[in-house]
Amino acid sequence: MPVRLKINGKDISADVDTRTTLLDLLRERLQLTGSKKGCDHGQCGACTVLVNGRRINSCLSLAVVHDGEEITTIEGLANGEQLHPMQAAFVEHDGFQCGYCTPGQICSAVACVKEGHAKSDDEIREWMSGNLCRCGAYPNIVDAIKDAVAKNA
Amino acid sequence: MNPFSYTRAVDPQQATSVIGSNASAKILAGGTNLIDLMKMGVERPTQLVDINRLPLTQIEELPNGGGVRIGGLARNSDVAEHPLIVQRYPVLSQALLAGASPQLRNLATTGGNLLQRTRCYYFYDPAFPQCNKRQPGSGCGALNGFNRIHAILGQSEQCIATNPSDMNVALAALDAVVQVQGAKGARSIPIGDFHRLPGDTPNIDTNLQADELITAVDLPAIPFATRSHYLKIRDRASYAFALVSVAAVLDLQNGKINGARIALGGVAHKPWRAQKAEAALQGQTADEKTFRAAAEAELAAAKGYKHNSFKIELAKRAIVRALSTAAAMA
Amino acid sequence: MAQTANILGPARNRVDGRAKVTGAAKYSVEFTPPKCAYAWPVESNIAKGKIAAVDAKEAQAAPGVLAIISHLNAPKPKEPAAKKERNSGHGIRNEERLPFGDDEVHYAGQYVALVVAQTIEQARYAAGLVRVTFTPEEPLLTMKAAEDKAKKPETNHDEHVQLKKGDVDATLTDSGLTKIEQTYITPTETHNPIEMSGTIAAWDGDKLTLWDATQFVKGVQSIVSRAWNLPTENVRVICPFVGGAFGCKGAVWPHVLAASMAAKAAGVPVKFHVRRQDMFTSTGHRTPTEQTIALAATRDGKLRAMRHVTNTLTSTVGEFTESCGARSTGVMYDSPAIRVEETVFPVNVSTPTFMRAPGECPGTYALECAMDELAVALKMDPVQLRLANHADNHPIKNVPFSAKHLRECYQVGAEKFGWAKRNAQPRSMRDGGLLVGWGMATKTYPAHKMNAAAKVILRADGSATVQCATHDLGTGAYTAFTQISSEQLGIPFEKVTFELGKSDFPFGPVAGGSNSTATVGTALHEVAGLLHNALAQLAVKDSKSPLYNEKADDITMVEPGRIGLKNAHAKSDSYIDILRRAGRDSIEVQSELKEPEENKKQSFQSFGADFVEVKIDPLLPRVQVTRVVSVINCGRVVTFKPARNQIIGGVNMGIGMALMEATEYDPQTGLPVIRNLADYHVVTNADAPVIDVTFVGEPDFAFNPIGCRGIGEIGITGAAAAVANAVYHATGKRVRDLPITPDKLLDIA
Repeated sequence: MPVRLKINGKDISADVDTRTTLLDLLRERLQLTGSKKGCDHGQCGACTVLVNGRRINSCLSLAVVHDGEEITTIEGLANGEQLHPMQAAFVEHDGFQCGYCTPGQICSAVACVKEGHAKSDDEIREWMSGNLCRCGAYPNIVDAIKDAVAKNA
Repeated sequence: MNPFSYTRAVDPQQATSVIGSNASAKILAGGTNLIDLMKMGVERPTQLVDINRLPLTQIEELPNGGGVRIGGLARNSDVAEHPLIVQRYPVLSQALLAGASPQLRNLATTGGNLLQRTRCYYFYDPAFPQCNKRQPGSGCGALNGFNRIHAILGQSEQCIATNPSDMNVALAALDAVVQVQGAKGARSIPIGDFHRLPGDTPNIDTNLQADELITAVDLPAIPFATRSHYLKIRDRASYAFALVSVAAVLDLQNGKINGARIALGGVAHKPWRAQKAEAALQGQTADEKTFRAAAEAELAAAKGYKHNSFKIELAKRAIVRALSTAAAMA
Repeated sequence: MAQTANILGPARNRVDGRAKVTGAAKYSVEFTPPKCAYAWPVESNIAKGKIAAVDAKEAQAAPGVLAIISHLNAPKPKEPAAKKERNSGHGIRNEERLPFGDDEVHYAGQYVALVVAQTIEQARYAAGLVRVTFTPEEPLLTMKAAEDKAKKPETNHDEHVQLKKGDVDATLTDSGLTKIEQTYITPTETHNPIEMSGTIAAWDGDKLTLWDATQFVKGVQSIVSRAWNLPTENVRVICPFVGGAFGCKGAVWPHVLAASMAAKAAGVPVKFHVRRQDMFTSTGHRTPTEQTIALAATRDGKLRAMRHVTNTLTSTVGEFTESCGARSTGVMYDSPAIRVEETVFPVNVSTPTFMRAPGECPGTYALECAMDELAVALKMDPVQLRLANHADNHPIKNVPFSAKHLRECYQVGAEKFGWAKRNAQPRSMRDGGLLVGWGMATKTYPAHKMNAAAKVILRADGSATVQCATHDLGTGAYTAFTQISSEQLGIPFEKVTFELGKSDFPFGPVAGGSNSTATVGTALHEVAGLLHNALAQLAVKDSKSPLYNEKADDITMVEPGRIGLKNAHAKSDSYIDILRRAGRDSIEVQSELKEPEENKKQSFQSFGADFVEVKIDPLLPRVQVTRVVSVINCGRVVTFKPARNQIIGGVNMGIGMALMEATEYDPQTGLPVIRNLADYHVVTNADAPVIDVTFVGEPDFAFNPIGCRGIGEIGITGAAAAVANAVYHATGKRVRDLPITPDKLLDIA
């Protein structure tokens, strides 16, 4: 079944199996492997991408559903060589270890700030709880998000 | 996941006619539960009817002070933060925000959440040979298995699964009305009649008919619903299903309880409206002793199993706390 | 932050940080070779029995299916000699059985068939069409059921696990002593790194490339090449990034060989990305433990006897011992009498493996809770009790610990935490309606060193590439080894590129046991010496060099970028000038692999202390950890940011262990009922407290020339005990079976 998507600003056409999730389309067909598969069941958040600016779990969403929509993945956040402020803050605050949940954390964090849910440490913690980090780098993730908020302000 | 054809619905009528004519067709909304269950091989539709682009996302006041209508496709996150809900029905906003994660709430819809299926391990994983809900007649694996998350009220020997939703608990306390449209027309289903107890047919979760689509949920005008609270107890601080939850709405007048609406989550096959507790509160003074007595009345019929008996006491305390919190609101 | 200056390396950002935050970092299953097909498993849902029939007809006819393998038709590798595989370059296996080797079922969740199709969707669907029928047999699922088969292993990875010193039994009957005896229970815990295991296998004639999520590329290469009877170098293993491991990617699990078998059968490369649910059955777990500890002490808190008896499970197809006693009670306190016993019960559950601090982690949970109970019995402060029993010497080996600064850990930790303000009385501290509890525990993990080699390519532009087949699991290895290379070679940090994660590189051991920095660091020290010598060889023959005609052996690095005479540093030459004058674009040296020398005169062990605050609503008692102070004595810290992060992560995993993690099994089928990340609760951001990490002590140069003792595992040790002790202090209730979920505290109200 044909789908047309705008992914990171680029128009993409693909013929997909109706069963293909947005995540598998990104990773297996388009080689956009920045979005991660950590559970494939909406239980870890590693696959978080932005669809029309909203964060969702791409593993639980069929690709065909998103025909004509705008998808932003971790590969689309930086402006050329210039890291997105959230990416830079994650590096600076060591907001990760293995890096596997990181693209999902960063996409989620960008949305979290935009939603207005990053006004305090506790609010960040709650609104970032859909992104598991088994390495346990959470305090650094909170610091990174606070820093990104401060620098944008 | 079996192959299926995909249809994008152009209007609700078309959607209902597809599901009415093909018994193995399913409505696809947010997909957070359905796609998961399809990956597990529990749900095996041959056709999906995508309703995501139907204009059912409204959250608006009903005419003549009649409450608020929430479109069947309104996303959980949008409902939770909508001023009409936050101001008039805080218990619903709190319940929604206690559920799942921000990402899942951005996908999940009101209608889909109403139809969310149980998290019983034996249902969710077809590797387990026994589950009357998944395969009628196969038995209940949970009964003598690991049953920490299972029901203590309204269960049957056929099924001790629970409804996992937070939203449904708040809707039950708010006397919501589910608006559905079928091939033959529309009807309204009071929330109390929407979900079913397992009885001998645990495979049927709700009274929604095969050709029916949830178009909206109406919340009646409840002036005192501003005095409401949702309390969820879980194993970790966030992103976990409830062990027990309570939605409490209190009508207080001069310290006396003029009316109370209480529903429990995590304890039964449906959001459990605590009518015995409500009756026990009627006309009483709003204090902890009264609340405890009401909780005792509600849980008197509760039955626990090997791993979940703790829920009985936990539910009582949760009722007391939720009511106390509601009562203490300004 | 008050840090001891001489142990801390620079607070650099990770060198691989940019790749990780942009999505450019490629993990193993993300290298999709042309024509790559997808594997999907079919599993047993019985715990013991035989496969009666495999009906793959319908599945075979499904769209896109390329091959279906089972014991009936799978290409058969041979059993790689298992005996040699322990603790060496030969790789590690915990499940000592070939996948699809025969019709036996040993545990629920065992792979019994594998479908290969062109797409994930096709493979997943077709796997559901394979009909496998079983002839079930009565499984053994519990310690009680397996009582007759229980074993008392003498050793675990060459280390003695049954320890005996002094007369414990007699001392424990001494009525003049204060005694406690309690049993502590920990459930099955599952590693659950967010990257699920996975392997892509691609054959090219008799050459095999594996992109494998592993902690041990050389081990995978060794096992797989021997299994297929190939020269070692015919198997290449590639793994530049690992998405977390915590032990579950150290051994070669069935999916690795299965991928290579499937690729052979299908005739195309095959990607086998292990499903999350299979991370609970086919890549190991931490075995459940039952630990009974008896302690006897004098009135003033001096330990006279310690007994630590542990029962754990292993599988019927692999032996694994979680040596709780030897690795906690066997190293921690000064006691004249110590006895440690380990009993292992083989059951029909998948094989356990090492999970972050195997032995130490559950062992310190039990021991440090027992010490807290002893402190209560003695009416003594828990920190004072530990100070009173501080061991300067290893309690069993009786040799001094090297560079041990545990007293300082207690002191700094107590100070930072405000321990002096603690009211010892349980339930005495409150924050509004919440009970507040303060608990502490000692942390410990041994310093491990294995063997490794490294290669350096120094270029005439002054840049260098350094290679070793080691791994970065998120530990910061890329950054630490870039830092060590820079220091040892004398080349600016920015000009060093450190490469790892390829079996083509010189040998690196398993990235486990917190050994990597010490091991590879030592190899980098050695290879730096070789490079300096190679440069000296060029210089002494070069008439234009200030070092012309000097003896190469008299020459060493005198400052970064320059070699010179050991006794006259001013007489020196620069690397770049030496290469340029020699007309060389580059110079390449590689160190030899040699067994590390064992220093038997000292014992090398890291220590630390955790101080934890919890808050608990007495009516609805979910425990929230609100702050942690963690003080670590682990020798030198090569790079501060990743090191601090390791401790934070270890403590958070310890909090998960204390409060929420448990893999439960169905008593009838033996399948785990908890086998996804919704039901297996790991700590979320909302559960994670502020964690204040301090490193104290001095570099441990007696251990290795870098002075580090490793950092990956010590963070989790003691943490669960500190939480459990804080829960006791808050509530007055001692919960001795983890995790401490709300239901276990209902009676504190």
